[in-house]
Amino acid sequence: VSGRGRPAIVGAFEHPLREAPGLSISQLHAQAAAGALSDAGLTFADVDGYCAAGDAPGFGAVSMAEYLGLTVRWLDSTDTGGSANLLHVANAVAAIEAGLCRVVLVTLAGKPRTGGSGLEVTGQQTGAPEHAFEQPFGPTAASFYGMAARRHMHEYGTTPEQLAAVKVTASQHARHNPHAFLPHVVTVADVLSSPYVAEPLHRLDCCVVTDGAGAVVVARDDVVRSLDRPPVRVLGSGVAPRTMDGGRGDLTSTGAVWSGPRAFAEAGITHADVGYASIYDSFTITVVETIEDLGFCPKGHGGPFVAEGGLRAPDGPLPFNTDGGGLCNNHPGNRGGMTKMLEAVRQLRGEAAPDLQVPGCEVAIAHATGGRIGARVCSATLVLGAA
Amino acid sequence: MSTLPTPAPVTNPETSAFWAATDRDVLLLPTCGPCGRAFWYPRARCPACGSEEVTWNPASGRGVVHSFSVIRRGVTGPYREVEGLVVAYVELDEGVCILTNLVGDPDQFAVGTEVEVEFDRSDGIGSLYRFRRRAEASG
Repeated sequence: VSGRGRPAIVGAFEHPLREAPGLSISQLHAQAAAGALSDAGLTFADVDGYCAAGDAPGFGAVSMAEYLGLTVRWLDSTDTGGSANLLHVANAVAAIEAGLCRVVLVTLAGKPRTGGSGLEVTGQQTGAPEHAFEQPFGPTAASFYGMAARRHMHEYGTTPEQLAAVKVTASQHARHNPHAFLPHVVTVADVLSSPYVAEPLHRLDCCVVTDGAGAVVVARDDVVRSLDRPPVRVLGSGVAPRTMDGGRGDLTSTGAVWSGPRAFAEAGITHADVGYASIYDSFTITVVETIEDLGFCPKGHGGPFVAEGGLRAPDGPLPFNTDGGGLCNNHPGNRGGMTKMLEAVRQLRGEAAPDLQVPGCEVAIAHATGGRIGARVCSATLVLGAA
Repeated sequence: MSTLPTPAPVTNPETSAFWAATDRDVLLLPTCGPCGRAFWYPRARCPACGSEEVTWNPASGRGVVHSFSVIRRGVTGPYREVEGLVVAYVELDEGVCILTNLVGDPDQFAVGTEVEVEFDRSDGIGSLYRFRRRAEASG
């Protein structure tokens, strides 16, 4: 597998803060941008493309581009929730290959922990055609995932203990991350004894709510070759929504059913080639459905797979979320896609926590699930490779 | 009538007839003329074939629980202080899943429980269609 000549991620940065009461959201975007550009060995003046989703305050990505002082000739404000930044990287690669730009900055920031819940209904949501048929009944984000979890349990026999195992593995990884919001190992019993948030999901089945920020820089091959940092090539990508389909949607699967095969095919890889996987983990059920949909185990077998240590790094069959993931480390702005890419970059650079580094990790995936798997989602898969 | 909050739905020209019917305790189910399939949520075009020949027939109001979640405590808006709200998908006998609430003790429900519709007037146009366990329910 080789991505030689293709655009690559050349800079990556995760803001160390998990609570940022003294910073504005714009400042967080800027600090993450500066961190990623510095990591790459580039400056703001090198950037000619910019991407940010709905977490960027203002008029699409334009307000932040102006705030940052960027001169860009291409931008993308597409918002698919937590998967948006992966979609941005996929689109940035296409834009670079189409000759539209050469250095693309992608930023994320948010303050749901100290700056308001971020759960307020916005005008855009009120105008959504489904809004009146859902919101008057009081569903929360967690309750949509709770409905998905209960249906998965009904159809496949998945148990609360199996879901809890996802959190347990994430916590075992998070203890190696000094920045992790929840750095302590938890047990299955801890998860099951935590209060219900949206039954059958407990508090510890949920991701953390953190302030924070992150950024990546994607560059054309000639720029890549001029830099010192090891590039992470974008070998393949896939983006696909899954909706309620007129009242016949499947709560037990996601868009990964389509985004995964497309990304794998473009990269020319098989499951056996994947050394490390960043898997979106807004809730424990999200991980179980996703690894099934991506084909790492048969549909309905995700529960036993995770309970048997399938996600453990570095020696499990599918080492996942070695930063602790959204479940334990960081889920800035209620959007976990950026941090999924950042840990995949660390693994491919050999810069993950030493105890969790996958030896000789050459191919990794980053996968994100925006929206709500109990309603409508947009899944995005990136296949990334060490150059 | 349940004791749950009854926020008024936001209506528009495409959905106002649907909501007006709910104030007469009628749940209308949009069905495509050409392809004959019922669909949810209500809209003026068929999501399967794109036809705007949509008929609005009263639904049976009966179905089974497809899935549900019990929210320990509400987060925002009128449900902020509500404990034990049951949010559910009910699969109507006509074959579509609709988002709703289950009314009553959460312990009486499981996937597959037979339910029937009831209506709660809102403080605006439109009543909220919610579901209770059928008296003769199995499951």
